[in-house]
Parts: sequence; structure tokens; C-alpha cells
Amino acid sequence: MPKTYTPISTVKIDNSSTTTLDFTSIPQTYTDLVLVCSYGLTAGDLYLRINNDTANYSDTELYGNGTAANSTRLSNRSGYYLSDQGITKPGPATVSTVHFNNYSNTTTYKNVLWRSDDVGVSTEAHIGLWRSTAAITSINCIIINVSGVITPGSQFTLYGIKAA
Amino acid sequence: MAIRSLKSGTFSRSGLVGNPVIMPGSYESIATVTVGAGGASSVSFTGIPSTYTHLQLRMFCQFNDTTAGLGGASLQFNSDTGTGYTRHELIGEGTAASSVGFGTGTYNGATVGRFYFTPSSSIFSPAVIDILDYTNTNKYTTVRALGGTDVNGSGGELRFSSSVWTNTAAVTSITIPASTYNFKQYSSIALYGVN
Repeated sequence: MPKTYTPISTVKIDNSSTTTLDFTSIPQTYTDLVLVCSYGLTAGDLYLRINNDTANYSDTELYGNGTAANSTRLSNRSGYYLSDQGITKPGPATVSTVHFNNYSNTTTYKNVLWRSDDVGVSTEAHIGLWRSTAAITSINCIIINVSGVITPGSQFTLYGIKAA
Repeated sequence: MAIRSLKSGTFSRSGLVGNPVIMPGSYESIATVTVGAGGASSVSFTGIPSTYTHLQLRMFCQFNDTTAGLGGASLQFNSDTGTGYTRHELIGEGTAASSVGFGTGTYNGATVGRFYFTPSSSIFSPAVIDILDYTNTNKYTTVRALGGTDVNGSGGELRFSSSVWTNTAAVTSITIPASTYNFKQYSSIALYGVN
């Protein structure tokens, strides 16, 4: 059987001034993409965008914070909160696993399915819809809401999965 | 579980849906089904090798119907269409979270969530399903699934679920009936083996 789940690119944050990161020129040769993130922020929220598009996003979220479970929906957004229930921490404290199934097709809208765990705060799951039929060629992460940086030690790895 | 590479000294973790990191080289594509014109009432994988530790299904599906909505899908193992499956689901519908649970005697399959059906061809639903320790003949087989649909407004939902097949047989085949609807053309289901 063919081995897959291939690392495409890894970004390791080793300075104290990083506010954005991008995976660009994503190969179109896989079936699915998986982005694995382990990160912390000094302030703000980490937003995820596709192909640098600043519109056409929506998501439905399920989360629990230790005392209650709830669900929210965000429509007509400019990106996705990778983790919107967490609080900022100085070191890598949030782990997110983000699935982009069938990311290269050009006939359907794209889905984004992800889980985020904010250590000591909450656990979340999201299903997102990006209302574009374009193939995903770049994934962009940016801090929004207030000024902050991605803390050193954070790491983001993009994998490609190819179906037989 | 953390695993340390003897070569690099780095640690990795399981790549299953509930965990963050995969080990490159330990994940293999077994088979893929893409639904053709006319749709399909079910999708099957047979002759599954017993050489892996876990299986993972990655789905990108849509049901065929003329009205928008959501429909369920299930997994049946080794052609067992009985009701020896249990399921528990955590559901987010955008306004509230809820949970449902069913013991044996109710459903004839393990849950994999619900998929979108619509006259529009633009929205498909993804799901990632782990079938854990599928060759172990000393215990029941367990399934963990994450999947959902968002439609930029009311009508979508996310489900995080677990199921048990109350049978100790090793899983050698998987059938995914499409409930009362057919899988629509271009729906795809890929089976992977994880070590």
C-alpha cells in the first residue's frame, strides 16, 4: 500500500515578532491537507484564511469549557478563529488539527474541519465552509483583534494525504 | 501516546482524529471509492488487510435529494446488519449543544455523523473516522468520528461521536449504507491504515 501523510512544510517560530505566517504554493497533488498547529499568542486571536480571501467564511462550533457545553455559529466572516474559546498564554498552549478534505477540486465549496484544545481552558470542534470553488493554494494565519505575536516555540506543520 | 524516533530523537503522537500529530511513513492508503453518475446506495471496502493498528476513513460526501437537509450514515462491519452497535454523539447545531446515546437494539451501524443533501452541488460534507484496534479479537471494536456540515446560516451541524460494535471479530470489511438516500456523484470515501 502506498505510504502517505507527507509533510509539505513546517514553520517554527523562533523569534518574538511573528504576527503572520503563510503556507504558499501548496502542491495540488494530494487528496486532503492536514494542518497541525501547536502555538501560543501574547495577545489577540489567531485567524485562518484561505488563498488570502478576506470574505466568504462561516463555521459551526461545538465546545466545552469544563462547566458547560455549547454551540455557536458564525456566518459571513472574514476568516476562521482557530481557537475562539481560549485565552492567550505565553507559551505554546493551544493545539489545533485542521482538515481540508478534497482541497484541490474546483467544483465544490471547500470545507474546513478542525479541533482545537486550549490547555486548561476548553476543547473545541468546528466545521467551516469557505464559499469558493477555487482550489486551495495557500493557507494564511494572522493575529487579529489586538496586537500580539505568536510566541517562540510555536510550530505549524502542513501535511498532504493522497488517496490510492 | 508519545513515540520517540530513534533516528532523530523527536517525539510524535498519534495522527488519529482526536490527536494532533501523525508519524510520516506509518500511514498508508488502502482504497478509495468515488461515486459515479447515478449515485450509490452504499459504499463497501472488502478484504481489508490485518497488518495495521488502526483504520481511518476520510469522507467527502453529499446525499441525493431535492430538498436541503441533513441525513445520517453508518458503518457496518463484516456485513453485520444487526443492531449490535451502540453510539453516543455530541452535537452542535450553532445555537446549543446536545447529546444523544443509544445502546444495542436501536441502530444497525456505527455512527459516522450526518451529511448534507441539497439540490445545490456546491456543498459537500467532510468526516474523519477512526476505527481503533480493528484486528483485536479480545474486545469489541470502537469507532470515533468527527464530521459535519456548515451552510453559512441555520441548518448545519457538527457531530463528535463514538460507537461500539459489540463483536470481537476482526474487521475485514466495511459497508457504509447511505441511510434512505443515495450518495451523490463525486462523493468520495478513502480508507487508510495507521500503524
